[in-house]
Amino acid sequence: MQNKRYIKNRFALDSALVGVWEWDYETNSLSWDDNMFKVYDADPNEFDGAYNAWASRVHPADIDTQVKLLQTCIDNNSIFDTEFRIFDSKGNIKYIIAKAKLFYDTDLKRNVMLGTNWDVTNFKQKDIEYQESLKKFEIIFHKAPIGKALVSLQGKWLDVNDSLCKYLGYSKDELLKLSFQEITHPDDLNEDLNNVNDLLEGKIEDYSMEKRYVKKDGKIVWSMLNVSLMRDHDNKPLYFISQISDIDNVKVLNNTLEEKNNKLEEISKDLEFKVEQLEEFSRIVAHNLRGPSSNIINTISFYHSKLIDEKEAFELLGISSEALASTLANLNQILFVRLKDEIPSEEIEFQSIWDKAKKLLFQQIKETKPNISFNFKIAKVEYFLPYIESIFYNLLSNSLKYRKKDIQLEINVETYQEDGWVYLIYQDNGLGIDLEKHSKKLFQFSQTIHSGFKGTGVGMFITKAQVERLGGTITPISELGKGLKYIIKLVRIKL
Amino acid sequence: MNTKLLNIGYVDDDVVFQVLIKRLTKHFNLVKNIIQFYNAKDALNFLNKNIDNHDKLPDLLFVDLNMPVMDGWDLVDELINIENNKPLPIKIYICSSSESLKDKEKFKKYSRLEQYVVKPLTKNTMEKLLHDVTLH
Repeated sequence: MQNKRYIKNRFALDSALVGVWEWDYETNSLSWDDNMFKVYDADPNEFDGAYNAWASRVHPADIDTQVKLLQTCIDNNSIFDTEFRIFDSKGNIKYIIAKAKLFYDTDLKRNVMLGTNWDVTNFKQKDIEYQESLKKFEIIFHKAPIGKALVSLQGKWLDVNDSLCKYLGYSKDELLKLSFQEITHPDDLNEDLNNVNDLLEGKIEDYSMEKRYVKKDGKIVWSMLNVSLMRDHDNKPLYFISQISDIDNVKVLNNTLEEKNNKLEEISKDLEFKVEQLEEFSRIVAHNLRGPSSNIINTISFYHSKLIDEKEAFELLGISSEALASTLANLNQILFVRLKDEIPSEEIEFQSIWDKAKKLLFQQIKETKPNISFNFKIAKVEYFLPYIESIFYNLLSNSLKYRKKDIQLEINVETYQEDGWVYLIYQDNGLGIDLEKHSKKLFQFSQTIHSGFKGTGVGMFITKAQVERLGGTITPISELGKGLKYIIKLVRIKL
Repeated sequence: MNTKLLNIGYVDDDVVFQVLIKRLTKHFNLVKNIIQFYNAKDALNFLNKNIDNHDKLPDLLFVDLNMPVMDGWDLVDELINIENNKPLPIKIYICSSSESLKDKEKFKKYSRLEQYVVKPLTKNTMEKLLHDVTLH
């Protein structure tokens, strides 16, 4: 029984490499078991068992403390429980946990000291490594100039560094009570959550995204977020490691660039528009002014050459000068539209403008008896009165002129609001035009598309200029013989 | 001089121009017929109809550029199209009041065209032009 217990104890001591010593401090005789020699890496033959031999192996920085502790233990009959460093035979440092207490020796009839030494160098080294890695983490995490955080699988901030707190304007305590969801811009949350899911499902190793956080003061900051997932030995997700850096400056710079770009584009569009107008004017001058004026030159020259007589000459001069005067009047009108600085808008009512146009074209309406329907879903708009009157007049006048003689003329006009604009839709079932061929001519000065009609070719030219002068657009939709529809983006709704 | 009488055609929507040019053309004794078209479509129809009737076809055809419905360039394109099958013995001139570079540059690309005449088409210009034609 006694034997079995001894074997058990010995086994325990051997496997943990615990050395046992006995010290008769009265005679200063120290005896070590085999394990002690192993712990101290010493040869039993060279070892004389003296206390000094032990003391010589203890680290000089630790020896005084240990000696004092031993003395206290002897004086007070207390337990010696300590940690110190020793050198092995090669001079390597080893860490020892030592325990000792006084025992009454029945043979000697006095107290001796019994103790253990346990070599914990391996644990100690691991601990040192652990402490070092903690320190590294401390520096990398807490001292980093960019925001870093550990985030729970549910999104709670588990640990955050100073940079992140400063960046988001929260104290650490405040932030740790929140989740990332609570301070993410609503428009960016879904993308972030989708990434989180992909990460948890193992579809991705990590992710980066540009997103907005809402700071404590309510300000929104653009950030670059990088997230990876920490997993345990069993690959079970533990928490997220997030890095958050400020890209607000880059974003702002980007936005400024974009804005400048847009402005440039606007300017270039405006220039293109102006060039178009100049070309248009040069065309008008070439045809509508040079035409009649070269006729006048020839009329006079032919009269002198007696190719024509006086009566004929005057007749031709009359026609030419009338053509000139009419072109000049039209040009004047268009210049007035294009160059007018101030365009005072007032509240106009579509219904009354429409009625006025119908009144002005009373004669033609009486002859053609069109079926007119209207639906002014937007009843009123801020606009320049003479333009809207002219627009309605020209549209109606064209429908009455370019109708199909064999069918009932149908005209439909409506207004509505969409995307912040007031739209005017005008549609008839008249001759229409082949837009592929004539879309350019439709809005050109003095261009008529249908032969056999007495069109001046000025109406739609003026209409387009007027619509565009107030920032709108006019788009025709038509096929030859299928009527014509204009979609007119009239004016932006004032808020 | 061995001169043959000419048929001369004009395509122009300008009524005054047509009146004046008729008087001017008549003045030259080289002319057999004056054929006047007030739009390009009429001209095209006429030429199509008389494609095999060379006596009726104009020897010279003056085409205005700026016309409604079908402009001068469209007409020239159509004529060139027709000639893919059957060359026509017609000298074609552009006769326009346009001095725009765009039109003049475009003219250079058409080797089929004789000359770009800028209006007014004066007595002197016409005289020289007819003289050149009859010499060849």
